Amino acid sequence: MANGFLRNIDENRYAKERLAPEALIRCGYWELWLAALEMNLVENGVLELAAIRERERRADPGATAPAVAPDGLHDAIGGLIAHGVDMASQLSEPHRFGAGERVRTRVSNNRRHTRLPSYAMGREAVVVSRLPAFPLPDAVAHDPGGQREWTYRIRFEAEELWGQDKGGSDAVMLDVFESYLIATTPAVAGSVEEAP
Amino acid sequence: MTDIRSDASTASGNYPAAPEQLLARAQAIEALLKERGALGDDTVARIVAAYESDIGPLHGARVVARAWVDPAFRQRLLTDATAACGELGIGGLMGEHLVALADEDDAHHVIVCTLCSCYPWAVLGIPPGWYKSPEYRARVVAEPRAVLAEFGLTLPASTEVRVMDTSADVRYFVLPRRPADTEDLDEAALAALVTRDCLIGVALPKSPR
Amino acid sequence: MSTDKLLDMPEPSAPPRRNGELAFDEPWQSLVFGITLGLCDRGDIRFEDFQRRLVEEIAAWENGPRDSEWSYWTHWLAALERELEARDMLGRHEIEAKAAGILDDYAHAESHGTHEH
Repeated sequence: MANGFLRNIDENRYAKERLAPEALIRCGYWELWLAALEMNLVENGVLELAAIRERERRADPGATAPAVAPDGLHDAIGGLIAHGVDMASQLSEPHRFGAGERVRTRVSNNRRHTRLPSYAMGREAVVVSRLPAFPLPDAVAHDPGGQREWTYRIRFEAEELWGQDKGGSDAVMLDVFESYLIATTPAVAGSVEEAP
Repeated sequence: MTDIRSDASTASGNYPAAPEQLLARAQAIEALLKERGALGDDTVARIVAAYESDIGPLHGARVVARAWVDPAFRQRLLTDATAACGELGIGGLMGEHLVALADEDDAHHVIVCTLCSCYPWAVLGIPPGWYKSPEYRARVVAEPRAVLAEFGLTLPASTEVRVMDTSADVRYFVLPRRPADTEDLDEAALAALVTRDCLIGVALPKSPR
Repeated sequence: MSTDKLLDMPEPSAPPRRNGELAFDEPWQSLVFGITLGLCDRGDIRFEDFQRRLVEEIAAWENGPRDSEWSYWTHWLAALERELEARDMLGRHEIEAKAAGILDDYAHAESHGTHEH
């Protein structure tokens, strides 16, 4: 999906992550503002700096001048809240992995913009479910062309992540992009049902 | 007011902690921006009202209550939560790809975003502060039972705790189990038992009185 | 003087139908949220610029001595102010002056609020 703002989000995220520590605010929480700008029906430019300075000079600090919101602003906000932004798509090639397959997560150097948490790197998991294709954050940060990949919900046993002393029989599930996964067994065709 | 550095270094360590001082500061910003035409008189109020009252946990509660009373809806919800929520007029921003994780007799789900604070806005409104905290994000994936216990929820060892780390574009919420002794409650009464905390998975639905 | 009169906003009280805790703990939090979203929607500030500053604020807290309590919305407020200043839209001195005036109004109203007029 050719989306200028999404490119910018990840470019900026990637730039910051090379300077700042790993992973802070990098996810759909900020799609809110992405969608707001993308769907903004109100054509308004940035306020003229000279006009601001002029009003400052003339304004009474105690006064609050009534201001009229631009036409359509409230409808635009209502529209984006109601409809959202759909980022999913299908790909020409099928999912590489299927539900029930055992996989291993890759180990990634921290210099890449990636959405694989460090606790989940280099661990064995089972694919729970195939999910839609989405823009790959790693690629979008570098290449505005916006490479998309299939995603998966995978499951780790707590013991695998935290050691035999912890976790008991509990589990952690994670959504990952296809390139984060390495096959550990040959794919078994037709013998597993996809989990809902 | 405390001094705030205006250089590139961060400033939030220099802010006062008292809510009334922070409120005055926020009001000052809003007033000045209104004077300069950058905000309308009710721009801010309408935005907040939309997220606080029109998009709230009540949406998620309605979905759960419907699933409890209507097995066919429950099946549709588990197959395609986005479409099922859409049947109830729920969706839109942050709800474009929803999945409901159904608790079972022996399985309990809890949701987190360790990378940041991904959250199903369309179903649950604005995430609570603790959900976005570094403590919750780091601890619930590593020691979920301890975190749940701090929320007052202790599960038997025979129940598997599944932590869902929302790391891509799908947004999750929990479909809790219907509480006992609720056979005579209608859908609206059932929805009233469903809190935001139980849709995240740190609590169970309330018991009927 | 109650804050909801000043703001003329729906007070974040907790009627039974809200089904759980509040989205915002304090009115100032919802206010800074709404201001930020309003400005981004207008295009006066860019969300990615605001986001970058918020990431810096949070990173600084997470990497620092953590001697102040975690306050997500304080980081948000700091990021908003830094962005407004960077864009020459508002400076900290005028914000502080205006805020001081508002606090003076509170104090004045409270001290005179019980008098007969």
